[in-house]
Amino acid sequence: MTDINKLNHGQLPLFEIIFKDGSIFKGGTSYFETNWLNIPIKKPIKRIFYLLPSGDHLCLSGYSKYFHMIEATTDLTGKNKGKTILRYAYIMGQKGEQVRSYRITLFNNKDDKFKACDITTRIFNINDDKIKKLNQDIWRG
Amino acid sequence: MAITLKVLCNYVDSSVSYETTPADYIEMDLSLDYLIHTEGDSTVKDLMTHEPTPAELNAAATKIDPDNPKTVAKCLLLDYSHNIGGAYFTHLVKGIAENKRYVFAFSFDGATASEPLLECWDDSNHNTTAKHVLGNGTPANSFVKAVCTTASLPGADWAGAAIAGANKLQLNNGNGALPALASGETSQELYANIKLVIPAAYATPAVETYVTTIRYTWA
Repeated sequence: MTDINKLNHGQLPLFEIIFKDGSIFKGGTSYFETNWLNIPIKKPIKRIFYLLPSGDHLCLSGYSKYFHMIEATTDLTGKNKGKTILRYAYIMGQKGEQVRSYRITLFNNKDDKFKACDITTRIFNINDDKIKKLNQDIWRG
Repeated sequence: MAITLKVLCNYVDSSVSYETTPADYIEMDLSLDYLIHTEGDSTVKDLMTHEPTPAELNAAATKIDPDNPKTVAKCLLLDYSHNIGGAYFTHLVKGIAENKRYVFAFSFDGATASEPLLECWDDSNHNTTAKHVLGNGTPANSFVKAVCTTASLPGADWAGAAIAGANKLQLNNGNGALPALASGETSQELYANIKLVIPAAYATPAVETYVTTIRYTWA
């Protein structure tokens, strides 16, 4: 089992945003306190550097809007009962009618297809149900 | 910011919501409490003063019906701290399998990024559904039937969706993410009714545990 919660990158921010006016916004240092919702609303974003569990950064730029979420599970039974297990982090960018989603695996068991640190990329149409039913208040840019 | 999940069981009147009548609900201690689906008997019942033993649970097990699907009659909350209303280890969850809306509540103290989901798996690995109760590898055959009651009553004799693996229950009735809390609110609740239905003449009696999980997101 690999659990990204146990990796330690010190106090590096989860993301760093460069706005088009040159100002900078830094994310929180934990998946539980990402600081994403404190990003100013409707402030054009030039570039986002997103910290990967490996310590490298994923750079997104050229999108009109950006979305971020952490996916977790809580089991009601079994060996992990009651624990909040972080499963994935998502960073998405919207350009025109398309949303490109980067899903970063944060946790895996031995036989899981995706391993912690794996990045899965998907492209959705903005009218896809998965995109339409996201919390629209989370988009920034 | 991460949100906090609370799972609550109605043990008084499943006609009333947590918002209006929180005293009718017991919050599960998710690290210690658990649910027992049972036919029940004179020993395994509401308000037990000890934790039921495996032998007692076996004696109170639901019998497979040779002719008709059999709904497991009761769901008991095993309250490990046994400090609600007296020193009782069990409380009957009210409204199971009935046309009742406020049976299980899932309470969140903020907005979610997407719609919360209820899932069932063989174990905490979340990658198989081979147990009989979960359809023996065919999720559509899962004994676990659930219905989202966040928006309305489930209806008389509700069938529910078979829950196992990729067959998940959307807890906000398919309406997507939960919004930010309204001014003055400290939480928002989603509801479901959940029952176990054993197929008629099912060939393999079993005592099984499985993992119920809530999947949720935040920004």
